[in-house]
Amino acid sequence: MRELALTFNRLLWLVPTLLGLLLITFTISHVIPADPVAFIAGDNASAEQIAALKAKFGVDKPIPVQLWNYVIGVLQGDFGVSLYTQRPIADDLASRLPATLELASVSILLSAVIGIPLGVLAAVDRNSWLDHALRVFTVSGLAIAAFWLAILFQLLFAMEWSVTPLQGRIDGWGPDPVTGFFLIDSAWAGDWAAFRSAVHHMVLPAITLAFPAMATVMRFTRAGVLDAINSNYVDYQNAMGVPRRVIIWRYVLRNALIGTVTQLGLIFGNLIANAVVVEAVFDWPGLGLYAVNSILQSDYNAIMGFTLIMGAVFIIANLLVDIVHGLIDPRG
Amino acid sequence: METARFLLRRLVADRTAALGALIIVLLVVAAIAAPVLSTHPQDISEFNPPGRLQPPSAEHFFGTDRMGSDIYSRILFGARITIAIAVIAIGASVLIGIPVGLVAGYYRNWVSDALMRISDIFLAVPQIVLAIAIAQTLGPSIENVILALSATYWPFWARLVYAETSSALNETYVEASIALGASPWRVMLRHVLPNISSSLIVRTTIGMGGTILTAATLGFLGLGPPAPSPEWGRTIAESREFLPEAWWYATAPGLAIFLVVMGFNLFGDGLRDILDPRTRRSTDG
Amino acid sequence: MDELLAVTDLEVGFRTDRGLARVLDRVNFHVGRGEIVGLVGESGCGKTTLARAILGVLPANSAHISSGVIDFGGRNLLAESSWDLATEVRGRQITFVPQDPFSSFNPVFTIGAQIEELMKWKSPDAEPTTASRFYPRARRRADRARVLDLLRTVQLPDPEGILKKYPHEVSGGQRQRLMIAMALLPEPRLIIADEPTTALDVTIQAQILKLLKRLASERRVSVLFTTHDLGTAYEICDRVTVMYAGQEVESALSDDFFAAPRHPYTKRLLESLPSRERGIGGIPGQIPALIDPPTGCRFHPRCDRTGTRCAAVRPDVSEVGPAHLIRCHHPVEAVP
Repeated sequence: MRELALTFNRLLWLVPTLLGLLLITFTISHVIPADPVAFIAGDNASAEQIAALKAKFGVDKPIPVQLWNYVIGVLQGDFGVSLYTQRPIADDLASRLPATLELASVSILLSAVIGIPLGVLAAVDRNSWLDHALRVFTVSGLAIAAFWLAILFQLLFAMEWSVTPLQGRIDGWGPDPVTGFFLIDSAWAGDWAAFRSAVHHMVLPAITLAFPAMATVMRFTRAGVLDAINSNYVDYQNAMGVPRRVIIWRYVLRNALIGTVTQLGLIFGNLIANAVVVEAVFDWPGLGLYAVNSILQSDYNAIMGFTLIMGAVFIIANLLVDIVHGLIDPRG
Repeated sequence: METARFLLRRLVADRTAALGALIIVLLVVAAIAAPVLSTHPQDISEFNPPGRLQPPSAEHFFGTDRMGSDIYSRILFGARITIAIAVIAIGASVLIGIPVGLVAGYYRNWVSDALMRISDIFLAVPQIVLAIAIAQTLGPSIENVILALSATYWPFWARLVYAETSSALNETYVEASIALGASPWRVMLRHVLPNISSSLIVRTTIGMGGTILTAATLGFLGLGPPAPSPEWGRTIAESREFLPEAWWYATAPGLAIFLVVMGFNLFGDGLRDILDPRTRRSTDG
Repeated sequence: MDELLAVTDLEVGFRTDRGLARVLDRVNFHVGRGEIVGLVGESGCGKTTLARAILGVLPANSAHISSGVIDFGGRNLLAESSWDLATEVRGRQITFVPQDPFSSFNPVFTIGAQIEELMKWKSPDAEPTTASRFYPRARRRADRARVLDLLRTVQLPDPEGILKKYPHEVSGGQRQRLMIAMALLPEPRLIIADEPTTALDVTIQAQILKLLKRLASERRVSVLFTTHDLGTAYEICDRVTVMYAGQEVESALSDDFFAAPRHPYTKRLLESLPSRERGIGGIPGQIPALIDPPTGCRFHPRCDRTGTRCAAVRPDVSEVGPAHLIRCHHPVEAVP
């Protein structure tokens, strides 16, 4: 009950937090004298052309008016027009969000499916060679630069050995968008060639993103299992002759995962941050690549939109983590 | 002095922390003595077409880049940029975060609520996202990377100091000195700050690793110091068009980032075990 | 009386940083069928180690059993494989009631789920040898009826409701009643209760003790009951064995024991009883370190009846009355 109230409270804070974020990004992009219109118009543009462009993008009005217009626009789902693609930013973001979410989901799934069992094994067999090897793995996972890892993978698997595609999300056009997740859409349509291609393209970026996440998952699972394994309830079940594998993989693991779940918000934040560069390296057509292109084009409207969407995604993810935590931890 | 010697002994005993400290020392030495240690100090930013994209050799330990510059020498000079960015950005974050956290934690009124709400907003997005937005508008330069990082990292310290200050105020001796009429500044500086210095030091050390990674990411995205700067992230970005032939081009700066970040992480973990027993890793023996 | 459990010359050491601690020094101990035996001593005397050795759950990496026999219904438990012990003995023939009923429940599973897990493996109807992960529906239904029935027997209100609750949602006394029910469910021959009432407050302690005693005698189950509190032992036990520094020093039927203790340590223990809060602190000197225990009789440095042989020769067990054994060179005179 208390958990529910807290979650609701967090939900209420979503709006002011996003408004605050909007204010911050707006301040950053408008108080600082940059002149993207001049950039787009080019060096040879006449004064009239520049004025027309300024009017089109609404930057000829006083800053408070611009802010007001922007806030009203965002509340209606209008993030303005991209200075570069000349399309509504909301449409750009919406069309790229599924690609990022699909990549992030697969990476989280990968890091959980691999990281949790390894974390358990490391704890159960504490100080074994496996534990030491995995500790090296976690330490490096948290220290490695995602973009460098991406390039190394590309260099080895795509360029040297040619076992994976170099870049992109799929060969050809991809399946008809239903969910926007190519893996789901192609499987749904029964288009297994497309599905295979999507998996093939997914492998390297997903592993790159999963690597640091897996390190965190493993680290916290191991710590949680070590805490739980010395508890009285494990001792009791052992004294009552409940099989050890049942104790570890059912009872200890559930307790350990509560600690890991509380770290999911942190893990997800890192994942999103890394997605920006990993998408850039693998030319993955998601929000990260969009942001990188916007950076190159000094498209600050698009960057503001990206920042707000990322903020919303991140806050909602943390909200979900809270809810899941409330569900699996009855102590509240 | 006694405690310093004690700390030093504990650090040496903890092998991984000692390794981390060693890496950090090496980084500092590399940065300071870059002109002496580098084999080609003159041409780190000069164009030398005949010598471009050479593989590693006795002459060029890590090979040469697209300009024909010696990558080994550029890595050493890049260490200066890395240190400058990390130290100044973290320093600024700490200098903003500590007073904000102290004041908010001490007074607990609407001002402190507002301050904490503002830091929550900053913490509501992954740091890199805001840093990208800021660095992008400001334009690519070292100063702007530092500005972007300081602007996004201070809330971490504000939050930490706020939480620690609030709980320190419940300590009996702090309550007593307030009751005896000590001024707020005296309480904060004499009682609260020394109390929370260990966790500050630990968080700052671990924060260095994260900051260096973020700075390198900004550099990689082209938001760091412009060419021909030997910044590590930028060097990796430059190498991409010469792959897979010039494999050495990206290898050395990537390893440099990896080692330095790992050094700060290991050292920070070790410090935490020693200084901050509450958050002690129950995990490692 | 017919023996159910007989421990002979059991020697257990613990590896520590400072060397091997000899925690059990050739201990002899037995429990008869249907008998409630109290194992009494100060903390660190080895009573919990003995209890855990019988269960077969000493920490594998630090404990070392160097000699002895634990005969349980004709089989030597020390010679059994750990797999056989876990599947056939623990939770079936020997069950356990822990000291702290709160932390012995897993906090994130309902009580019902935890009891069901136990019954899945340890129900009297379950095959001991097949470690199947399936829980046949018919057996599950029968087990559930059995569980509800026993929860009523241990006087828990609303058994159906309690099964749906989490451990933190029921009271301490209820938790220990649940633990007793769980110890009885597999229909064991021996229950090992390790200080089962120390975590409870005094009024509830008495209820729990009465319950345990009543159910054990109704069902002809033997109980090994460890405690540091002689008062508790007096309330529940048929027979009492006192341990000191890793040796059993006196064993007698409760009436004899409390009326006429013969070992100097036991006598002093009983004399210090009224001042319960001080515990056994009434005896001068300290419990010896088991890394380097005193030679001869381990109690001799604190004893007021020390003779010449006490420091040199380890006293043997001698029978000083019917079923009354002591390990002492200079026993206290029998009261006429």
